[in-house]
Amino acid sequence: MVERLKIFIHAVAEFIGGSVVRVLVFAYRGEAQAFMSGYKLSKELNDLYIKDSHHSDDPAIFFSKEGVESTLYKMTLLMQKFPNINEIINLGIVGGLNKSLKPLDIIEVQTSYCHIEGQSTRHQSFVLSSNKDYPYTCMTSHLRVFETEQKEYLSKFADVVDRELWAIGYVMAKYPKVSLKSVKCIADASEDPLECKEIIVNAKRYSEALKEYYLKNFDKGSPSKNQGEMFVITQSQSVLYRKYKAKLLIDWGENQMSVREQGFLNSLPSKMHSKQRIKPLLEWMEKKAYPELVELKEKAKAILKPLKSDQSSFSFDERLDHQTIDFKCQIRSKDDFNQLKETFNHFDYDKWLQFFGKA
Amino acid sequence: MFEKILIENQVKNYEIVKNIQQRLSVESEWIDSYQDYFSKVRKPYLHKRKRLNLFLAKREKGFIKTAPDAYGKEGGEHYYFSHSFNCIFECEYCYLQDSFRSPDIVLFVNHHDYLDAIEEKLVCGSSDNAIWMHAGEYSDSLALSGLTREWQQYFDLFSKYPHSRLELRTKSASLQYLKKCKPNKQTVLSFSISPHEIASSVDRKTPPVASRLKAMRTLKNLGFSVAIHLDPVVYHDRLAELYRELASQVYEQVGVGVEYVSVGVVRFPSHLYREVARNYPDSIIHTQPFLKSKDGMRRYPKVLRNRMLKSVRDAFLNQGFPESIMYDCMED
Repeated sequence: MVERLKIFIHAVAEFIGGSVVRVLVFAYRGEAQAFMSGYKLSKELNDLYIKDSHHSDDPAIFFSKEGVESTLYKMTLLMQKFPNINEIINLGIVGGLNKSLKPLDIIEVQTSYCHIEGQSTRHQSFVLSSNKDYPYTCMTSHLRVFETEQKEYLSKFADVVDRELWAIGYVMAKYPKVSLKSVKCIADASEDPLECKEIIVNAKRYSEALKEYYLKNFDKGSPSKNQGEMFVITQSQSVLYRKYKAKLLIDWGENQMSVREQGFLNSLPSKMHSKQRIKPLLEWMEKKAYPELVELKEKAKAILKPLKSDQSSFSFDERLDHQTIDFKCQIRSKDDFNQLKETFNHFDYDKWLQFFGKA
Repeated sequence: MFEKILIENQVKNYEIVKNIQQRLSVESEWIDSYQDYFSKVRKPYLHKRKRLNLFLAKREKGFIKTAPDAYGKEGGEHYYFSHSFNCIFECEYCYLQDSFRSPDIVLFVNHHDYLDAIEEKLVCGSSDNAIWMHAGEYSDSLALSGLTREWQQYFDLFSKYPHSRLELRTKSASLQYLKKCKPNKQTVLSFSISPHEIASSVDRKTPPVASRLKAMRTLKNLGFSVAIHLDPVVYHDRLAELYRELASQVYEQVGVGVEYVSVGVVRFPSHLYREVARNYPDSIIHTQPFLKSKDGMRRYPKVLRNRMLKSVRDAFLNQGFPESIMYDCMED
């Protein structure tokens, strides 16, 4: 008993603090029965089943229950309690709306919409990851859809209808680094709707079909974590670095980029630590990526150079969008004043205006 | 091209609707109003590649709108009208990514209402005050003309008003339908073009620039007036050289006898820029030296923008295009 408890605590700890975690999200146990019997999972923890051996690669299984509200609540709780989740795969059964889909067909949903009631939908939609070419769409309905007229209306938007996926998408939109996928099994065709009882009776078949698809397409290991940035740099520096790199990759190609970047870094004094290296690196990259822009900046500085003296300094919009010059000076004596007059005499303001296309 | 055609019940007996149905062998469905479905959910923009629907509908109001300043060539009154929403082409910078919640095509087929609204304005025109009507604000004017075949009735209307001008903006090179139309002096077919090296990167699923130039030449020979939109100009290290080459190609194919040459650089409101990042994460648009200007737009810095515009204008001026026909589009 104590041993079992230790394994369980270890599993939870690893789930919380582990590196990569995949969670399969179902609405009901009936949909998941083929998965539950296949994996070694520990007792539930708020509808969450996790692997009970730290050597196993089995995914965790989570039940969101039926309906948008329940799913929103449960998924929010799940993601807050277990921030190390890296991948969510929603599996389940759906009603077919697209006439070409038949019972037991399996599709990967790419876009999720939401239907409120009547002829009312939510504008917001969510796009999921999928390797498949054809972008299947799913309408999540707040209410169960039975009426043919209702199905007709929804079929203009989506291929299938369920009760959870949009809510999962809504929560997962707050976690853009977590991959979200959805695999659905058609329970009933658009023109041949089944009663709930019949769906329950057939649940095992649907679950087995989902399991077979999952093992064939997804059970090949989990996604790897991001490598992370090379440097410890600020957010704005990171944005610039990625932008310049994207441009230089187009101009030079990957090999040349790598060689030249490393070459430049090697040329910097060895005493410089990584935080100090980023500024000259960005300056070098900017010069290579946008030589014309850098040339224009140098030109601007050259035009403004006469404004610099012992008593004065200036700054300007280095983005080269506004012609405003901020000028500072100190006048302590008549000599200073005369010096300032000389400074302005040597400055060609018309040239500055021309530079901005104003003259 | 289209997965489904959704037709409003109120237009199902229109001749143009029946003709479109015949030309497309696609399943039709009947609806009460396109507004019950179009843009009711946010349909991903890239669904236009495989899941594009076509709506045939009747427009009830708002047939023509006053164009913003610097929209067209200086002089006269400028208006625009849209009898379709969305475009079959796919340009990475296109503002249609953020104009509607859906990329589905909507074609308004009640052209008689459009013509009545346009004519109400045209009667006010005079030799001192030309009335310009621009088409192609929310779609490409000619991309689907082979399917819809609506333009002759517009040409006929404008030919009655000598001080009117009809501008059709396009990237299409499809001339099947236009070759059968009767040209008039009031109609200007204006083609958006850019150097091949840039267009091949950002103008997806559009006819090559060479084809557009060939189309311009054919139309000019048929008696149509043509014009050029060098818009948007996208920064390139060899911008001046590329536009010199383009100017030379235009000169060879079309000559300098065009109505006007407009020049505009690429710019994005913030929300559109986010859509471009979402839809085309590998686009060269993201390597552009943009900054965020006071009005929230992503633009090139003013000095760089001026240089780009000058390089482009100079390329065409040096080829012999008169300065009087050149203007900057949507530039302050």
